[in-house]
Amino acid sequence: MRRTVTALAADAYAGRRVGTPGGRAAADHLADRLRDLGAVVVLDEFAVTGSVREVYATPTLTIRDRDGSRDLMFRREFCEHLATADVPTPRAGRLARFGDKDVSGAWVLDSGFSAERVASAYAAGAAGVLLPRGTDGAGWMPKMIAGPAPVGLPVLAVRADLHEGLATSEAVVSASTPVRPVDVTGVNVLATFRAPAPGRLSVLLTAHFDGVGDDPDGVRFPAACDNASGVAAVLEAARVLHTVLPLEVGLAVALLDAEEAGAYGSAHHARFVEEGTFVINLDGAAQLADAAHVQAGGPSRPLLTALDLAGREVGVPLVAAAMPSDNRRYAAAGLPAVGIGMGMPGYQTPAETPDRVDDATLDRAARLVVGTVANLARSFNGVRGYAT
Amino acid sequence: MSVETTKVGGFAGDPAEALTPPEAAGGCCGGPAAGATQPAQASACCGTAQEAAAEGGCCGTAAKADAVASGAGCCG
Repeated sequence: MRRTVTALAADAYAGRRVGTPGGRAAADHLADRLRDLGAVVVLDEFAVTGSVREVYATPTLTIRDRDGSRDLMFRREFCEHLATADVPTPRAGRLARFGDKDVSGAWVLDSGFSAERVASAYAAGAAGVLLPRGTDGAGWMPKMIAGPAPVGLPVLAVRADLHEGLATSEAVVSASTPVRPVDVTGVNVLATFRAPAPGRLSVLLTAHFDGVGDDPDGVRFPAACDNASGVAAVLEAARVLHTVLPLEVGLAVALLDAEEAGAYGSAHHARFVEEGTFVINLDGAAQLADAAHVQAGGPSRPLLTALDLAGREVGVPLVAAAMPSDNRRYAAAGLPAVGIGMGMPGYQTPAETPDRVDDATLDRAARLVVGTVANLARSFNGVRGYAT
Repeated sequence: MSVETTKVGGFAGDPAEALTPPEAAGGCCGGPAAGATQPAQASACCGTAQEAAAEGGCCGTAAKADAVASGAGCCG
């Protein structure tokens, strides 16, 4: 599992954003891994339209005041707002506050995003909008790639304390926002280990392999925790289950693309999954805190019973908590589906490196999945026995 | 199953609570889920489980609006 995490976080895959060569290369690598485990693998492409925002050059933000000029640091002191207009060359202007009588030519400080207020500033001839945003504990502004519809003005998020300081400043701001919507093609890696015998149990294990991708300045977003860790645990669980499950039990794995773009991969795949298939989605298996988060949907009570028992057997506490991930797409399609989360330190920042992934958590995640499927199989006519 | 084992694993309450979990404040679109001691457990989708079920997708309109209003990114 450690090797899987390290491989997916490597330079070759460049952060694995959907629709990039790195993302595609990761899919090809995972397809090979699944074939090596004995599965029949299909790469299933789908379109992702109007969702992904691509930062195609590094945005800039320069503050000039009586003390001089200072360039703020991207993703530490400011970052793109996903609703921004694409403005590739710096646009300069004085500072103004939302509600000022004259904001023409000014960068407008606002307290939060409102499409209506941005439209109002745009109509009044403003240069752009600056919003406050916090950072994570390490001082990073996590990167995301899917957002609301672009507005007419450049919009940047500025670290909250700096934003507060600008409110009383007479500075001149110059900033660029080279960010554009892109339509891309995603690819799911679908692996069938064995089809179910008619009327018998069928299980689908899922994890998304995509990330938010590297920045154009070369800063790596390794996505080791979100979700190379989940992929690693699912591969290990599939390897074990393929050796111990009765042959009449169906076992498949879907390694999904475009979760970071809005769970497009699972939305595409869920339509083709056979009714009654039990789905277990793992999103984050990097650092278990107090308890694994669990959200279930669809007719999933047997799945929850099996998971609860596995948690007791393996020693993983479970708690009902929101898991807004691919599991919701399968549940929305009427399938019994559960999402499990066991931690993502460094979430969507350059600090999400393989060393942040805890080996013990990987092991417990794989055991939890194996135990859940084994318990499910027992309740559906027995299992030959398994060793985790 | 022994009491000892129960204390260290599985659900403390009814597993069916996972069908309607409490939603994390700020847990939309990648924010850390409430109650997590590590930043974790979230991803690009927005909204509550109920909204997801009602709207046939992972993105609830209300949560999306909240996320947008707070300046966070949100899925389409």
